[in-house]
Amino acid sequence: MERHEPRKFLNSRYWSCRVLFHFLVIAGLCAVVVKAFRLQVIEHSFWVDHANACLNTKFIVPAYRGTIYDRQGRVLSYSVPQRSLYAFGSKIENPSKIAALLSHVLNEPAGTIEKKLTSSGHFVWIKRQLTDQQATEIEKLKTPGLNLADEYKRFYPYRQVGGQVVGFVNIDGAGIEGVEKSFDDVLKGKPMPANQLRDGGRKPLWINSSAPPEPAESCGVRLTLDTFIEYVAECELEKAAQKYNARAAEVVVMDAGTFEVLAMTSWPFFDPNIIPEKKDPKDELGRNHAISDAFEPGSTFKVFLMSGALDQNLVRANDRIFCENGSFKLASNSIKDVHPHGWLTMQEVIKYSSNIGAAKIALHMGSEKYSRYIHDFGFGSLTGIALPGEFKGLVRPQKRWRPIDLATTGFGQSIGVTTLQITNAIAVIANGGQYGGAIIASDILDSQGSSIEQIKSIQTRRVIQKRTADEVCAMMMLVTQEGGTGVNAAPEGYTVAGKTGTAQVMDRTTKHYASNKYTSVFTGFVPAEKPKLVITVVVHEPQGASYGGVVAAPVFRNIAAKALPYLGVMPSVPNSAPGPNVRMTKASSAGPANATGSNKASAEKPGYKSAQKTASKKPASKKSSGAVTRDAKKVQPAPKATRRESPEKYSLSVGKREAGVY
Amino acid sequence: MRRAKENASILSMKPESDFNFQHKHSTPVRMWAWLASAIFLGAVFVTCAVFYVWLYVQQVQNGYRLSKSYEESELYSTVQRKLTIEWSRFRDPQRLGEIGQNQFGLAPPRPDQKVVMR
Repeated sequence: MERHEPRKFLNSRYWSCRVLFHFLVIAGLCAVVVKAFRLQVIEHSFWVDHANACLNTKFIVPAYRGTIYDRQGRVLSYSVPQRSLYAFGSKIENPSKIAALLSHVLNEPAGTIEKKLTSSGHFVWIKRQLTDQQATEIEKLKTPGLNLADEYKRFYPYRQVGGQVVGFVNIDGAGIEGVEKSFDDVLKGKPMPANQLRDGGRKPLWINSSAPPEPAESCGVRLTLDTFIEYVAECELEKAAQKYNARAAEVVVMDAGTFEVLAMTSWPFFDPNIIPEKKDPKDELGRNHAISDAFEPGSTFKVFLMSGALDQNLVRANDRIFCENGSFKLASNSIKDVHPHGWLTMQEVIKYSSNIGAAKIALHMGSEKYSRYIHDFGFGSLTGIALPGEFKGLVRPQKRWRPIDLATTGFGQSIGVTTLQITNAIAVIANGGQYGGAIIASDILDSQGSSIEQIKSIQTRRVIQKRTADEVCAMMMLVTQEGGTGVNAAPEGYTVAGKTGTAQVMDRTTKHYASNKYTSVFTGFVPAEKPKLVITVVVHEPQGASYGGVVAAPVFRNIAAKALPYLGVMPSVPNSAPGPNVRMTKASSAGPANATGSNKASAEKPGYKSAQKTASKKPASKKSSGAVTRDAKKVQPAPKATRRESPEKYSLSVGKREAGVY
Repeated sequence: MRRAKENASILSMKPESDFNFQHKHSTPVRMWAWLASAIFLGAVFVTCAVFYVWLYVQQVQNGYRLSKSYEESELYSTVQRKLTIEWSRFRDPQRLGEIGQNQFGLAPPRPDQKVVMR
């Protein structure tokens, strides 16, 4: 074993090396400490920010725009994620090649895409809101510089049904028209930013103590519209507008008791799913003409005149007025009736729609009182409906009325009203004289569809007495009865109180009434004795026919005939005669074979032909209808097999029908 | 008592009087005792460190899983919203009318097919 020799290590070289080594170690340690101090203390915030920037990333938690429902809970407007394509021009290596590839996928000219790709070295949208197929194909391309972003597209599943009421949003999701605009603050989603970690490969990972935030939906709106009634109204309106080659047409259907708008449409219709990228400011796309356009209401306005006159006790229902045998001179102007009349009662003035009678009543009433009633019925002011672009109408200040203005306003000239205003005013009469503001939205809903706020009409006032409203209602019922101008408006089995109107249209170039342009109007409520629906039909400039009782009244009838059973309102006229060839039976004993049987099957049944003859021979009047019923019952006994069935099996249950299934 | 005091140094393995015994026997024993303690503590420390690292790895793995699940749930939410649109389209009365007429040959009833129920 080697001996220990202390001297060997005690020389100066040893000590110098040792000191140097110690110094280096201490210096190294000091350098480490200094560097650590610099990193951890002096530059702490910088490096923390740098680390966070590398690891942390922000992402947006989707917040969908609120849903719009109809009164039955059907979805009218809904947001769905849709991807959009954007590019960073500086990262695109071969723009022409990529443009050609994208052109094939996007069905757009390659030149347009290439122009976008080369226009800027920075961010540029190539196409927004791609279809799912397009997004998938673009993902497969895996081209550097091309990226997909999540956006939200608004869909309107019922297309044009209620399109003008629901409105639409722009590509950034902001409401532009209709309910989408008026309830934009409620509906618009508020995306929430959240922090997340990403690794070196930009792969996300969630290491927070709380759960990742879930996508949320903003508050929704439940409208008072009923999609079925809206659809029926649109179908009937379109038929009439096309039949008479009209310029435009409008319908408003309102609940008589609550002033809720059940349907509101104007033809031509509008599909909010199809919005051009660049909208012409002059374009009337999506404009709701039922609230934004005023027209002269014509004779329909006589009911408001009569309401005022009766309410003021200036006239009574059976008072007579001389109608000048069709021509009445007032100063230098001449007022004429379509059919000359002599003496007419107040009821007959409404029934036969005498302009001269109305003019005389207006002159008797005076401009001050008449003007007050016009304003009380809501003309010349907004109804307060929660829709953008409502027009308050055109009502001249009362002080500027000349006698001829007063007279012509009596039969609906020299005044401009909207379809909604006239519907609302008729609803006042249907509601016993109590005014209510029109309502289009009934509830604000949370994301789960539960109501968090109810919207009710706040404008309520009494316009006319209940007794007056009943008298006017009785007069309006005469209009739709035999001899009245609106017989075509009465659906089978229901009583209708209404008024026709045929207004001449002012020619904008000549500033005179055009001889060949009319506005055909029918407005009223049904059933007359217990009003449920108030319907106003306006057809602008129909060709071939012009009378409101011919053009607009059938639309009223057809809408009421389909909407009333849907709402559970059963026919109220007990002995109304059915049309020719229509068989009658007791509700409890009618079998499904009877209800849906083919013509051949029906013809084979005993007594069918005789019943057919009887029904066709009998006129469709109230007096004879009872006989028809009895005869039909005689020749059309219920089949024995069906008699054994439970009566409930075939009983009508219109009110219990499943929502949304027609 | 006196005997116990005499044996105390032997029992405590620290014989103060026997210098050789102290040098020859106490150092290795103490060393092994310290070594054993150090190894034990080291093992505990390493185990804790490994466990800590394992936990951290698990946390990261779960972070990835959570993130993936979140993306999946978002995807399902998107699909559900698209299906809601499809369902609403099926309830469109116009579409139902077209299907009824074109596919099933349905039409409004003729007057002779109608039965008025009283």
